[in-house]
Amino acid sequence: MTKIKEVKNYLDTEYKYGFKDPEKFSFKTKKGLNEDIIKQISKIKNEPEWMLDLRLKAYRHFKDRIMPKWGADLSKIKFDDIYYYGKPEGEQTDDWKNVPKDIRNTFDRLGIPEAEKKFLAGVGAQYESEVIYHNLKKDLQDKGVVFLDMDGGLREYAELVKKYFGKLVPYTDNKFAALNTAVWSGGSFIYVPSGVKVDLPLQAYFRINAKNIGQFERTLIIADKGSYVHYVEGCTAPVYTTDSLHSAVVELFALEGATIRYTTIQNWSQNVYNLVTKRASAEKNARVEWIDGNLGSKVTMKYPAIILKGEKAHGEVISVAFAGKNQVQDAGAKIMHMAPNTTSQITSKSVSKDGGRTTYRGLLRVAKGCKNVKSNVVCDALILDEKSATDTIPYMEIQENDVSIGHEASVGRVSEEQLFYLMSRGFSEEQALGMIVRGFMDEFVRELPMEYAIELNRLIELNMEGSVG
Amino acid sequence: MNILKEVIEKDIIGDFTVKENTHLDIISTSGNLNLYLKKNSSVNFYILQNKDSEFICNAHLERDSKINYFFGLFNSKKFQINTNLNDEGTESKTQGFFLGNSNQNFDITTNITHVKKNTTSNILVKGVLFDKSKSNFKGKIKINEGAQNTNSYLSNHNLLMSDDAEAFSIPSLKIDANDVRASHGATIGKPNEEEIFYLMTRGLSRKEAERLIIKGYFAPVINRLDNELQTKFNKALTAKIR
Repeated sequence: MTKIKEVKNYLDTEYKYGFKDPEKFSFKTKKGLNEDIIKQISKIKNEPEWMLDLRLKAYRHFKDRIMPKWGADLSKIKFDDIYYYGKPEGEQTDDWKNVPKDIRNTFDRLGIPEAEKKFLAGVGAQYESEVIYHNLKKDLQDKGVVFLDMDGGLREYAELVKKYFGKLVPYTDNKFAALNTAVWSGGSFIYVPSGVKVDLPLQAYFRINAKNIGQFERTLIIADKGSYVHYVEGCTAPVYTTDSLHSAVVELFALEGATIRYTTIQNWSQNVYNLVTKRASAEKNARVEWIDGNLGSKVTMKYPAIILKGEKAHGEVISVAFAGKNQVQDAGAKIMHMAPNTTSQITSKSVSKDGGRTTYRGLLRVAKGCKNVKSNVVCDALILDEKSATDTIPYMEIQENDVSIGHEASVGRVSEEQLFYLMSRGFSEEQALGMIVRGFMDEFVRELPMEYAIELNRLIELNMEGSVG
Repeated sequence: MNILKEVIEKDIIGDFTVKENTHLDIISTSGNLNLYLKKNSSVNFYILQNKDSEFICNAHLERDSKINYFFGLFNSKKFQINTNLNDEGTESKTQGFFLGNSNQNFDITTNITHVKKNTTSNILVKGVLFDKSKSNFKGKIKINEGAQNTNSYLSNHNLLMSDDAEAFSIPSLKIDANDVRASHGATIGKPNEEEIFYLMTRGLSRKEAERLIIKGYFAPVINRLDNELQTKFNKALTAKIR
């Protein structure tokens, strides 16, 4: 036991992405939020009238809505101290050469241009409030695939946006969805035409650089009949002593027979509140997968949801959370079975250490009449020391009898026996602990594209630095 | 050890203390009570609820004391047990079932708090719901900071016998210590058609087959009881699924 404690001391997280650039804005709204600021944002973007109306309605709802009374402590968020919109200098481009030097350096250090060359079909890079770089491979453009930032989507595909925007996550959904709808900027708009398979992942990278700025990107993905798309997002920010707010809304529409896989590797610095609403709908024979990794941030509250609307739709959530010192990872999944013969699987793995707290909060609902539904939920938590904690709160609401629903959860620590076994095979205690933690998260890592799997393994190793090798 | 047996058919209301080194059997149908278990005492609590009544029990366990609950709910407005394992060596075991039909609604809560280290708990709740009956099960395992070397398990299984039956289940874990083994499991589904088919090939009607399966489903709970109580529980069970 004491030995494990010693090892624990090495497990201090070193955040690799904490560097920052000078703050250079071509425009920034005043601190705080009011209707004038929202009108200003909308005007800069030269938006249609209906979007401004929606923003204002959402803002009024946000003002009146009380803070959620459950989950993590959000009382320290000072809405008046945040900048809600900041446009970095430079215009959006599809050539890295045209990106301002500081910003380009940042993305170089994050390895984005290199990754794009090697294994991505398209990349969007968002810096503060605006997407500064956007590119999609030519052959996909020719097939009719649309991959734009959300503002571009609204400009060029107004009808599609109007049809789908806010239909899964209305601004009345929760306080932070209202805030996002009021001040959204950037994010991705993706349309994959019927039958088109996008073989390589599309990636978006979100970077907050300035102090006290909020990032409120909005993502909408529509996968038409029988299409396939894999979208990957990553996020980092510099370390500041004051808090930042990231509050995104993501809506996925998988039409008949389509598959959407959405992978997140969230690695915000530990001064970011990460409060995100993610929801997907799956029509007949469609498939939606959320692969959700939460390593960074101060507080994360995020429960990717899937509404299985059509027969034989399948939903899957694989969620991994790593909570270190002063971190709260309140994550989970929601699956609503609204049609017969639908299936789902939720796998959640969490590790807490150095006083961190992880929570699995989930909902599984089977509506009346949805026969032959199968669902299985597995949540496992690992606690590495006595200061850390974990909660498991699964809701199961089953209104149909012709179903098969299972839920299992377990909490434990790394057992002395496992450590002893590995050490008897010649590994040091540090190596053994690292191996066990990586093995515990394997189900998640296995689902990532190769390059990300390597990256994630490296991140876990960094988080456990000193304990490995 | 002193062994006492108390059969209370009416409401039990108020505070009760079980003396050191004493074992107490309680049989009851409803009530609202605080139960204090002194050092090294033990209680077997049998609850058979068949009127639309409430049962709430808050148990507080001192060092090395043990409490076992056995319950069968046939008609219940509310059933709630809160068990606090306040000192080392304490143990709690709960085994119970509910059986609903028509428009019955079951509201069942089991909360276990492991306050100190070296404590153990185990909860098994099985339910069968016919017609338009509903259940709402909330089971919480809480392990306080410092309550190391604890072992706890909670499981809730539900059989839905009709299209209109509904089961809500929220088994939760709140863990503030690391040297623990805590887990829970829950399942919701309908009876296995193959099992029913097998019994029907042996000459049973569908109804009889279902009845046999339900009896078998509850058997692990009922078999733990002594003869007298087994007869009592079985009688209530048979009457309900006739």
